[in-house]
Amino acid sequence: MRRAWFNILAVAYKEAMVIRHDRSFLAVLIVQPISYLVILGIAVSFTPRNVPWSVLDRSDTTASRRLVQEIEASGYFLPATVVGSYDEGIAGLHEGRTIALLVVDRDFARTIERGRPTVQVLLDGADPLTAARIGGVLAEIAAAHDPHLEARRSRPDAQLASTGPIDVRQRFWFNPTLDDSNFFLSALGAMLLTNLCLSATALALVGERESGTYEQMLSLPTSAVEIVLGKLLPYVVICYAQVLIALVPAGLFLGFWPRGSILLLFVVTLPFVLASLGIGTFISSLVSTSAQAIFLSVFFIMPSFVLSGVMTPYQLMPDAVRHLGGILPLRWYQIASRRIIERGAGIADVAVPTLVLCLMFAAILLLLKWRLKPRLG
Amino acid sequence: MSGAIIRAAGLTKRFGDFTAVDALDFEVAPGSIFAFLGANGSGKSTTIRMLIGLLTPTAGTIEVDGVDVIAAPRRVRDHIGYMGQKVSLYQGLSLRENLEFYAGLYGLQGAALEARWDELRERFDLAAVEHEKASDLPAGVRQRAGLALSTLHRPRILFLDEPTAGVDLHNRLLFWDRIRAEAAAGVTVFVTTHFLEEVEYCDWTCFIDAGRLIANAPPAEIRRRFSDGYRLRITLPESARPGAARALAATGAAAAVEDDGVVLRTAALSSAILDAASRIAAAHGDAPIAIERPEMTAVFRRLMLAAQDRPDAPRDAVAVPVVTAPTARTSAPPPHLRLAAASTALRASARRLRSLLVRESRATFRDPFTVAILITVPLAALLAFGLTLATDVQHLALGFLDGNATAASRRLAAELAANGSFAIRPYTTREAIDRALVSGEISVAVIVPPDFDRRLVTAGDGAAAPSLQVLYDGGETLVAGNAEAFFRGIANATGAALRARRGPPSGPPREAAGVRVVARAIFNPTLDGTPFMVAGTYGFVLTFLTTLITAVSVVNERVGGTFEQLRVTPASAAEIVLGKILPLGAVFTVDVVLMLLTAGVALGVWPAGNAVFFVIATAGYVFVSLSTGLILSATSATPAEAVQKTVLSSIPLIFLGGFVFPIRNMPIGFQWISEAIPATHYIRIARAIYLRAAGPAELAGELLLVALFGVVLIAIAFRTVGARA
Repeated sequence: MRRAWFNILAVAYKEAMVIRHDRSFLAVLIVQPISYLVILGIAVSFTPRNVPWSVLDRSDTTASRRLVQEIEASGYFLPATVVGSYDEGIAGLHEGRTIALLVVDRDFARTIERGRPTVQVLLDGADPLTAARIGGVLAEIAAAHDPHLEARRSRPDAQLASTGPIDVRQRFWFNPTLDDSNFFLSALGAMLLTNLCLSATALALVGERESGTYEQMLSLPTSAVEIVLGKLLPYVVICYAQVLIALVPAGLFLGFWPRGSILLLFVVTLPFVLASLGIGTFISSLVSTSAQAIFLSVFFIMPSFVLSGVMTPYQLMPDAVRHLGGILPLRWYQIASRRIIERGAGIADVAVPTLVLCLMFAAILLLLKWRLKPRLG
Repeated sequence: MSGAIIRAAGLTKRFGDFTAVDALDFEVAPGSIFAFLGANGSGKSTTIRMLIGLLTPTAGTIEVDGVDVIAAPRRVRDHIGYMGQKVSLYQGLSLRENLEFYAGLYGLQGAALEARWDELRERFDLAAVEHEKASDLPAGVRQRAGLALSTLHRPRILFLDEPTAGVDLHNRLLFWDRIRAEAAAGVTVFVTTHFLEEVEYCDWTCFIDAGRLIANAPPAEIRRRFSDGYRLRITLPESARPGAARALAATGAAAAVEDDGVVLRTAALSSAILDAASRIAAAHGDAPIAIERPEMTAVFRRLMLAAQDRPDAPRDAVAVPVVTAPTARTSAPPPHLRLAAASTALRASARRLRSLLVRESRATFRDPFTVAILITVPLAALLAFGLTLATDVQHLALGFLDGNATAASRRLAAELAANGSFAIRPYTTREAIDRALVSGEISVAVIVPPDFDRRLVTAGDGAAAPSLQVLYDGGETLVAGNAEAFFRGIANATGAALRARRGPPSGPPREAAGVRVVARAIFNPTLDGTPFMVAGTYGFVLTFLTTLITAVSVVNERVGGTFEQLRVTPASAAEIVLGKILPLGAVFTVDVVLMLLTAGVALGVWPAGNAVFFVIATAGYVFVSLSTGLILSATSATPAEAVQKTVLSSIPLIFLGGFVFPIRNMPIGFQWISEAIPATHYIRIARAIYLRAAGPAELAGELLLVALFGVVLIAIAFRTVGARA
C-alpha cells in the first residue's frame, strides 16, 4: 500500500512538472474563467430586453396611448413602432423586425365603459423563450393597468389598487430581482471544471502512448491504475484553484459571493472532479489518436452543458431528457453547487448529489481498471 | 562542371533572436550529389525549406534551376522533387492511390502515368506493395516509395531531407543505389544525412554548424584537410626497412621506419605511391600492404574542433569551381500565346483540384471514426438540443402549505395540479416548506392563509381579495419567470370560478379594473422550444463540427508531413483550400439533409419555409465555417492546439451567437460582438426559414452578410494556407 502511494506520487510529480511547462494550458486556466465570467455574468440573460414591438392603435384614445406608455415604461421594450394597418404589423413579425404586435380595437374606449376592455397581442413564437416571457409581461402590465385612473382620481374614496380575484403576493427567494447572472454564475465552476477535467485528461493516455512514454511507464513496477491516479492528482489541485478563480472575481467584481459554506462546496467538488477526470481518462483509453480523444471529449462536454441544466433549467426539460441528463456527473454537481452557492444549503441538502457523484467515481474507476488491464498484441 | 543549378548567397534565417541559418553561400553543380551535413538543429532542414520555397529567408538570394525562389516559389515546383524527414505518403491510402494523387498534382495521367509508373515500379521494386496501405509498409519500402513518388514528374533536382533516417542498412544501401542512378541520369541530388559514411556516395559536401558553413568541398578534399591522411604500411624484415623507406620517400610522401616495417603518410594516394609500394612488396616475397583510410567520423570530429577554434575561419574552406550560368529570363509571350497559356494553366489547375478532391474524399470516407462522428454528432445534437429548451412549465414541484384546508383551498390545489403544470407536494409547517425551497426539492411554494375561503366570498364589497403567498426559487430564473405567469393564470381562473359558485358578486366585476390581453403566438402557437432549438442546432453543428473536422484534418496532415509535401507540388494555396473544403462541404450538405429528415421524423419539426432554399442557404454557410477551420488549423502546430482554439472560439458561438440566449437581451457591446460572428447570422437565417417561413427576399440582407463573411474568410484562408513562415 505504501509502495502504491509512492508510485502515485512519483507519477503525480512528473505530471505536475509537465503541466508547469505547458504554457498554453496555463493560459487556458486564466483565459477560460475570465471569458466565462464576463459572458455569463454580464452578457447573456434570459430576461427580455430591447424587445422591438409595434402597435396598431385603431382606437387612438388617451386610454390606449396610456396603455402603450405603461408598456414602454416596463423597461423590457424598445419604443413602439406605430403601424397603420394589421397587415403592416403582421409583416413586421414575418420579417423578424418585431417580436410583438399590440392591437387596440376601435371600440377600446367604449369597452372600458362596459367594463370588459380587451386588447389583442400577437407574439413571434419563433423565439419561444422571449415570446412566453413577453406574453406574461404584457398580460401583467395590462392587468394592473387601470383605464379608469383619470375618473377614479376624481373620486378619492375609490380604492386605487386593483387586484384580480385572488391577490397573489409573490416573492422570489435567493434572487429577488430574478437576475439571470446569479443562475449562471452559481454554475460557473461546474462548467469550468468540466472543460478542464475532460480536455486535460483526454490526451493523458493517448498522448503518452503516441510518444512512447506509456510503454516506458508500464515497464516500471507501476500498475496502470497507479499511473492513472498519479496523472489525475495534479489536476485535482488545479481544479480547486480553478474553483477559486471562478468564485473570487465573481464576488469582487460582480458582488456575487456564495451564500453557503465554501468548505462544503470544496467537499462536493472532490468526487465530481475525480469522476470527470476519470471519464476523460477513460475516453483517452478508448481511442488510438489524440485527435480522436479530443473529438470524443469535446462531444462529451457539449451535451453535458446542455443536458445537465447548467445553461437551461433541467426542471423544464421533458422527462426522458431530464432522466438522460441524470447520468452526467455535471447534473449532480450543478445541483449541489447551486444549492450551496445560491441558496446557502447545508450538508443534509447536498448529501444525495454528493453520494451520486461518489458512486459515479467508483463506477468509472472500475471501468478504467478493466480498460487498462495489460493486454497482449 | 557547367553553371550551378542551385545558388545560395548570403542565405540567412532568423527566428526572433535566434539565427538558424547564418549567411550561407554555396552552389551546387548540375548532376551532382550534394551532401549537406550537420548536427541536429544546425540549420539543415531550415536551409532545405528555404531552397524549396517553403520558408522565406530573412536575407540572401536563392536561385534554383534559374528560378528566383524567393520571388516566385511556385515556379520552381515543377523542377524539383522533395522528400521530407517524414515520408509524405497519406497513411490511409494505398500506394497506388497516393501515386494517383501526386500524379494528378503534377498533371500526369493516363498512358503517360502508366508508362512512368511501370518504369518506377520496376526501378524501385514496388510491384508487390502497390495496393498495400501506406501505413502498412515497412520503413524501408515506404522510403523507396516516397523517393519514387518524388521523382514521378522527372524533376531536375531532388531535395532529400534525411531520407535514410530509421532505415536498416540493407535498405539504405538499396536506397543509395537508386539515388546514384538518378544522379547518373542527370538529376541533381541535394541530400542531408546523419550517416557520415554516406558522404562517400556524394560528389560534394557542405558541413554546417550552428547555421554557419564550416566546410564546403568534395569529400576527398575535406578528408585531406581534416585528417592525417592515408597510412600505408608494408610489413618488412628489419634489414629491408631503411631501403624501403627511402624508396617511398622518393615519391614525395613522408615515410618512416616503424616496429614491423615502414609506414607512409600522405594526404592523398597517388599512383606513384601505389606503384612504389607494390614494387617494394614484390621485392620481399609479396610482403603484406595495409592501407588505412581516415574514417569520415574522425574527419568530422576534427572539422568540428577546427570550427570551434576559429569560428569565422573556414567559410572560404574551398572555393567552388563554378561557371556562372546564364539566368533563364523569359520575356512576356505575345497575347495570343498568353491566352493559350492561361487556358492550359486553367486546365492544369482543374486537374490538380480533381486530384485533391478525390484524395480528400477517399481519406474522409475511409476513416470509420470520422464517418461515425459525421453521422452521430449532428443527429445526437439535434435530439439533445431539440428537447432541452422548454418554455412551458410541466410537473414543476410545488410545495403547498394549506392553512385553510377547505373545499376552496383543495380546489385550488387540484386546479394547479390538473393540467400538469405543477406537481403538488403538501407540507404542514412553514419551516418544512422553507427547507424544501433551500434544498431545491421544490421550485415554488404556495401558502394558503386560514381565511382564504371566507375572503373569496366577501371580496368585492370594498373588502380585499383573499391573498396567497407564493415563494419562487429565484435561483432558477427561467423556471421562476415562466412559472410565475402560469401560476397567475391558474390562480386567477380558479379564483373567478370559485367566486362565481359562491354566489353573484355584488358590484362591478373585478376584471373591469384591468385590461384583458388575448395573446396569440404566430409561427409557433404552443411556444414549443423544439423548433427554435432545432433550427439553432444547425448553426451549432455546422459551426462547431465543421471547424473541428477541418482543423484536425489539416493539422494531421501537417504532423504527418503531407502538408509540406503538398506545398512543394505545383498545387496553389487556393487549390489546396478548395480541395479541402469542397468535399467536406459536400459531406456536410448531406449531413444537413440527414438532420432535416431526422428533425422531421423524430421530432416532428419540419421547416415552415422552403426546404430546398434552406439546404442551399445552409450549404453556403458550411463553406464559411470550413474556411474558419482552415484558418484555425493553418495557425496551429498540433491537433491539440487546433482543438483548443476551436473550443475557445466556440464559447462565444454558444453563448453569444444567439443559439440559446437571445442577442437582444445583451448589453449593447456584446450585441456588436454577436453581430460580428457569422454563426449569429446563419442561426437567424435558419430560424427565419424554419419558423417564419421566410424566403430569399426577407433574408436578402442576412444572406448577403453571410456571403460577405464567406468571401473574407476564404480569402484569409488562401493567405494563411499559402503563407510561408
